Amino acid sequence: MSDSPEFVSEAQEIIETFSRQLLEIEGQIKDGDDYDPDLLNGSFRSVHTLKGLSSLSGVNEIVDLSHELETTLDALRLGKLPLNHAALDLMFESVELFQQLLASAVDPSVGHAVDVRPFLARLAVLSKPREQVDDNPLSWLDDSILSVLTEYEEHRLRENVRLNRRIFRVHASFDLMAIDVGIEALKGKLKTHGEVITYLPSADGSSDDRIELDILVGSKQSLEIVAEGIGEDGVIVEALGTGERIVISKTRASAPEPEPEPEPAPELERRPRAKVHVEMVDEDEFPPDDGLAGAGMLVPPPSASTLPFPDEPAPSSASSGAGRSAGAGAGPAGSGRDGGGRDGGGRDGGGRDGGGRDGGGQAGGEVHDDGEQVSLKSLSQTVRVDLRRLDHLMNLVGELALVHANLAATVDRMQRSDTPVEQLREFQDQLRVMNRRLGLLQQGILEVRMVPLGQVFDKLARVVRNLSRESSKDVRLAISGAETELDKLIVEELSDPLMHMIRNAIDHGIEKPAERVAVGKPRAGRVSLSAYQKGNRVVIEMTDDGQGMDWRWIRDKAIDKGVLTREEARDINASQAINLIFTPGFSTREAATEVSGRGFGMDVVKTNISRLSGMIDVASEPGRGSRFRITLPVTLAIIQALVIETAGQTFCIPLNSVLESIMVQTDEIQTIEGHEVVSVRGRTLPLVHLSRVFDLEPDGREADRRMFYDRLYVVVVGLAQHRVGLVVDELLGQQDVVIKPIGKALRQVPGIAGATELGDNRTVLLLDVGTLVGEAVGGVEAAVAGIGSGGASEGIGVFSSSVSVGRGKEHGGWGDHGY
Amino acid sequence: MRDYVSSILEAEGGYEVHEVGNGFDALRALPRDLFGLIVTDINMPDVSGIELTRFVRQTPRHANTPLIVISSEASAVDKDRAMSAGASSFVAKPFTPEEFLAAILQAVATPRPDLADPAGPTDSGGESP
Amino acid sequence: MATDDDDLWQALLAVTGDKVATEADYEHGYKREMRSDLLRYVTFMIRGEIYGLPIEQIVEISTVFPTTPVPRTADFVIGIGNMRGSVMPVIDLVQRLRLGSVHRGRETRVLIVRHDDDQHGIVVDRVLEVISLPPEDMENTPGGIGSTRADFILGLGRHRGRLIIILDLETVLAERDFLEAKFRRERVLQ
Repeated sequence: MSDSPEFVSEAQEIIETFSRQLLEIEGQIKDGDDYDPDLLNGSFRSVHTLKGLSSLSGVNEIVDLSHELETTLDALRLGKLPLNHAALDLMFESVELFQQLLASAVDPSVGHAVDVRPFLARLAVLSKPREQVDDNPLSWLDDSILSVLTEYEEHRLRENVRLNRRIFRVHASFDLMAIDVGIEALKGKLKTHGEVITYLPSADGSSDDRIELDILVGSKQSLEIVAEGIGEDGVIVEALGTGERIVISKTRASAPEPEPEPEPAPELERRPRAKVHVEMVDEDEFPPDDGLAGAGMLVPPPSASTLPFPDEPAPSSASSGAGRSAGAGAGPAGSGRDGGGRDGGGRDGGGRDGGGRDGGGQAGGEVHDDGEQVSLKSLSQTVRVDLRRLDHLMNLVGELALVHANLAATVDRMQRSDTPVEQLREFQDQLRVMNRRLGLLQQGILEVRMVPLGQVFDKLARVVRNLSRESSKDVRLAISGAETELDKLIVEELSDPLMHMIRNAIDHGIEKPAERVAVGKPRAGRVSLSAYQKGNRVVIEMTDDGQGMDWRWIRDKAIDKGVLTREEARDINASQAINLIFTPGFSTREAATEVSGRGFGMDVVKTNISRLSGMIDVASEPGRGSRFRITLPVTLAIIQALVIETAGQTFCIPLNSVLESIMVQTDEIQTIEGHEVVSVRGRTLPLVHLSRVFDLEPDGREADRRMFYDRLYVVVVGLAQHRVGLVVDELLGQQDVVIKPIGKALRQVPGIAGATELGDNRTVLLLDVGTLVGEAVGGVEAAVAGIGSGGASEGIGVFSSSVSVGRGKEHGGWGDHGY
Repeated sequence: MRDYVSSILEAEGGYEVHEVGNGFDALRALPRDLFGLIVTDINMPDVSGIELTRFVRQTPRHANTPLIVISSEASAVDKDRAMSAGASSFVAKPFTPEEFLAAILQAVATPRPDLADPAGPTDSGGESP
Repeated sequence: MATDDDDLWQALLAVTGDKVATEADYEHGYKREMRSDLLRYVTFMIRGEIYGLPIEQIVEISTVFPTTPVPRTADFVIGIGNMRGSVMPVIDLVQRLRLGSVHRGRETRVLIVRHDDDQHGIVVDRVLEVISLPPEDMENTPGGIGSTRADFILGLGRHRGRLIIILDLETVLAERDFLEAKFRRERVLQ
């Protein structure tokens, strides 16, 4: 139960949200602002939810930890504990602990048991209650307000007073049906001016279709500005403690009363009722002041005598309805509906009415598109789906595509038979429609798999925080494009490489604060992560403003390491030299540090990116910083592939790594130190025989071709600056293929990225070009003196037509049924 | 929590339960429908349980409806305020179904003579206890 | 669980016909056990010896389906196959146990097992039946069994006087062994 994927993914999500909230709070504190109390509240709720979730799933370790943490967070949000760096540090630590606990709940055999006791001990020290100095800054406030506040709301009220904010009471009336929309709109306006402390609802005695709300707001703004910001007819804004009030009216500009005092005066004992300023509205249009005196006392509303009952029609109180009809969200129907039947059945005359009643908040949000969605609702509109189910759907689509292909073949046969032309045409039309729909279906499923990169970025933000601490460097992370979406699988696989790059940037890139100041840079280093979509690819850039890399130094280092010969080094340019850091065996620093020296270098990062059919390159300027750029396909599930055959076996090559297909005369092939190369447009291209690297037994065709045709098919593939020619027997065509996972056991096979089906129920392997190229350049390129000759970026991306792709043969049938 | 309470009410109490997701939805439902029992958490975003209680007591048809307030921590301040706002009884989390049922009994059994009764005895409209 | 078992029974019957002993068979001269702690195993024959796998690990028993060889894998890896849209590695169990290789024939079957969230196909000479073994009839691997094979054996059971070798999927399907020896090294970020 505890390791149910549902639980794990949900818990993971909550922990990540929690961490994001903490980061945001920390950021606000760092920037010297007061933190948003909603964030702290949110983090409290996250931990609370996590506790509930884990207790349902029986993960007691997480229950215990979240329980203690919840207590601390509660004290923090109630102001019983100061929210300082020490407290935040502990909170961040808890994120790590949660993750470890979750990991060991998933797989108890992984790692050692997580001991949370030291953490709990420190938490207890932090949570030790301190004597609160209560100077009662609220003595000026009406007790009737105080008596309905929760402890938390009271704390926020005190906090606002402490921060020298004025406390306003905003009185507004809302149509019951659209209350959430109306309130959200008003809340949005109020939030720009300050903090909404609480809502005090009171029944509007005049109509039971409306609700009156007093909203307590803390703000540094003046009464006029707040009132102006609200700008809704009929809303009353009152500065508590001063007696100033404004009734908002749009028809005539409300001349604000000058405020006698610049800030709420706590010494004022009571709001002097005589000083109430009224504008534009008759005195009796105000809600009774006593409306707030809720404790133990029910004030009969003015219209109590005409209280509606299920069995008696409620007279519409026309006068008050008209007076307030301009209130937020109130339609003219608001009062008109009053005359309708009181029982549920009689009320569904208006479509808007019935929807609002049954659907709770939902319908209101849909009808009024000007209202922002409340987060609670958007949550309920998402569904967690196991990726395997999506894979299954994708498989089904693939199979449907096969059915489609078979049908198309049937049509071909029908054409040759005596089928009436009209029927045939109709059949073909329907087939085309089906093909389009299939394409849409496939597209739809692919979109479901998309998740925002923010998921990874959030994790990285935590890493940056920890690393900058460990390395005693001040590092700020700037994130943009977190909403860019990528296939879930890719996003998962990206986190390790990106984490490694960030580590490198902080460890090797960003200088110590003193060094930075000495060279005139800001004390805090800056690492930025940005993502954006470019066509059907996503680009992720990571830049740092650290010390950068000197290409000459890297070149010399590469020579020392034997990665580069002196001859090669002579022709190398800056860009090529810097990209040598991706070469296996190259590492920019010998001494492994605690932070980034885990024994793998950028070559592994590159291998990982290549596995995702991605590319990575780097640019750097000494003293200025470095920029890494990763380009990835949006999805891995469907790719365009070049289908080839070698030694009697069929393979697919991802088209995005194919530069061109060429035919090579056997006599053009030269041998350099035992490696075959061919010169293509002045550039030396190492050749790799797929049948040899895969130990396939040649079926003689290649030998035949050499003998009889004197030429070979070569597929030129490239990743980043390397390119290699794959020698194959046949080019069978291009096709959109659905990539199928091949399981953990076979995923580790170097050079194989996955499998796919090609229509005749054959399973075909998909090549991992990145790895194959890497293997080849390890051995071949070192021997080829051509690494530096010619521009690295010239001539890429031309899919040559010098060969007739998919040349006839028995395979032609399925060559072109992609979408 | 909501599920927990609902399940107790449905399974143990035999009530028909109408759930709402937040304070505003409660405000919307309260003046329109009749309830035999109202249960609210103290800590809700926006409209708190205390405020909701006060509102319920102001709503004529619910002036007398038994109302239970649930709080996550047994905060004396919150409890006092909820009770003085008109709650019939109070339960602190965590609680067992038995404790909750006891609170219902208390809430239903306790008349609130201190409250005016402008609407007459409330029907148990939506529920069948 | 019960329904899963039922499905499996259907599958077994469909594939092996009357070769599978059913619960009813046991009742003839074989006292039906009413115990609930019995563990059930699917048994199959390799080179005259009876092997078993816990029934929960088996998803389906299939007739042989086409596979595609995968380069750079160990010799016992036959390749990958496609079973109703899901692609899985298929191994030759006989070769895995270093007992030669499967003789493909009319009775050759593929056990589709779920291991570590992935499906695998395991090709065996012949599927026998589903048996129930009380836990106390299980012994740990004794000495005397070829030490190379001992790793693959979870325990030994006895059924109607015959020895049943219960295999350990954890080692039989150990990921690293799938690679050809020279490619076995850590290549990915951890």
